[in-house]
Amino acid sequence: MNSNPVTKFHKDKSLILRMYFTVFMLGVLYSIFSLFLLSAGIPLTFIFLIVGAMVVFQYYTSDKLVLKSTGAKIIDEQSNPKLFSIVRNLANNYNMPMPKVAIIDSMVPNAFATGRNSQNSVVAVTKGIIERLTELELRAVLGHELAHVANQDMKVLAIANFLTTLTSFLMTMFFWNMMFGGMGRTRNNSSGGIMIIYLVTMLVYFLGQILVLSLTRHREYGADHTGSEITGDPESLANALEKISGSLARIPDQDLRKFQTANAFLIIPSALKGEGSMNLFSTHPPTEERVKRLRNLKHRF
Amino acid sequence: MINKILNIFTTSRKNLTDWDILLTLDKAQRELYQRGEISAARKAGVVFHPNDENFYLGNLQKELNTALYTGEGSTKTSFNILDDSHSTKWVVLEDGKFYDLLSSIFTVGNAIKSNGGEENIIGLVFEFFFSDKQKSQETIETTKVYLIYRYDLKAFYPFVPTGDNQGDRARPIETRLGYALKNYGLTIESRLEKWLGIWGIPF
Repeated sequence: MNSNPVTKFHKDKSLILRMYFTVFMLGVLYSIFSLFLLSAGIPLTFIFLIVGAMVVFQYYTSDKLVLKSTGAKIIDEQSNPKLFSIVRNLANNYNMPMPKVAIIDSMVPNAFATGRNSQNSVVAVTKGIIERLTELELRAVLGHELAHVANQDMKVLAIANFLTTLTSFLMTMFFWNMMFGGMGRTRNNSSGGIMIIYLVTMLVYFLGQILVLSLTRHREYGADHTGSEITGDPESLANALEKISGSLARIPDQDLRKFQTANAFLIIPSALKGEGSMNLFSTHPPTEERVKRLRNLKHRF
Repeated sequence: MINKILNIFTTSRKNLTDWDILLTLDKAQRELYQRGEISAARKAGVVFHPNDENFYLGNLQKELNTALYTGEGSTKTSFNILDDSHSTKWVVLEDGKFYDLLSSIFTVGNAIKSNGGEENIIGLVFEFFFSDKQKSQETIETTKVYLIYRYDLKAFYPFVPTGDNQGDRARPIETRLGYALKNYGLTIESRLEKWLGIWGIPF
């Protein structure tokens, strides 16, 4: 069924190790937290069931919700045969069914894939990205998006989402409990006890968010890697990322000779704003780092 | 703060001399040449603002003859002094041996700097041919590219003009080339905002 040979790059062992370590830390964090809550007499089973139902509902309806919230319209092949041809070719390489294709009426260059599995996946692109990228770059971006589906990132994120939703739910519950009393004062029947549980929950929520966001960043790197193997073209994905992020626009139009001395260069805005240190709270890794890794892949067949 | 801590454990390029940094270009271009990605052209240039009050710059032809061609270890690099449309001047050097070209351009730059021209010197410019080998493309395009070395940054950056008009430059090729050169140990300026171009290079 494969229409193109798939390029195999060396596995990024460090990335895989960090991903497993993050998952392990999440497991440790929430296991300790569960034991803590149980010892405090909190009825966890009931809460697990409520939050679990919420997350399962979200998991099964997320594709429709995302499409609705972004205004994406599912299109047929006649509307954009070229886009369909790229997606079909990539889907064949992934050995997955042809996903639905959607277009978003926005000039902001963006793309995403959604759906709980490859049978129910949708890949959406904005008009802006179709206009700004070359065919090779668009293919590389779609390869990355389909990699999220192939790598089952939706499932990973649903589990991660369950943990953060759970803590968020508990935080809200303990907050109102502190305000008005009720559940939780059965065994450790003091408002001070609930306050401690609330603070611990807040801390777990904070640590959990950092770990989950770290996991999503690792999945982005993973999708870059898988997508590059499928397209065999990490360079085009690197070029596309540079175009989408606007980093190329930072290269100036001015002529160096207009600046007399070294000191004059200080009037040019510094590029040091927050770069260089990883933002713990971002869902995606820094573009520069992704581009660097992709360009390194070129030499790692 | 994290960067400051990390900097304690890494060698800052501010501690390296200009020659240390220029020398990395020789190694990087040899390795990239072997991979078929880049080949050095024979030319390089020093661009500077003229200064009538500076005796050395006023007698540059004579002074450079002395600096380049006298003494032990002098190279056979030829040079020309040219004006450009921006009222700046160029010492354009030509040599088939890249190491000699590098050594000569350093000598010229250093001579200007140490004779009162430090404020006048704008940068050093090297000419290369870059074979842009994108995996999915059938053909390999060879592009003329420049590497600019700035004394104030103590770093190189690529410059690929697509015309003589200010602002015409091939940014995607520049970043690709920058990454390739950085991978081979060249000190590339990481802040893209600093990559000011020079349009109408006279070689």
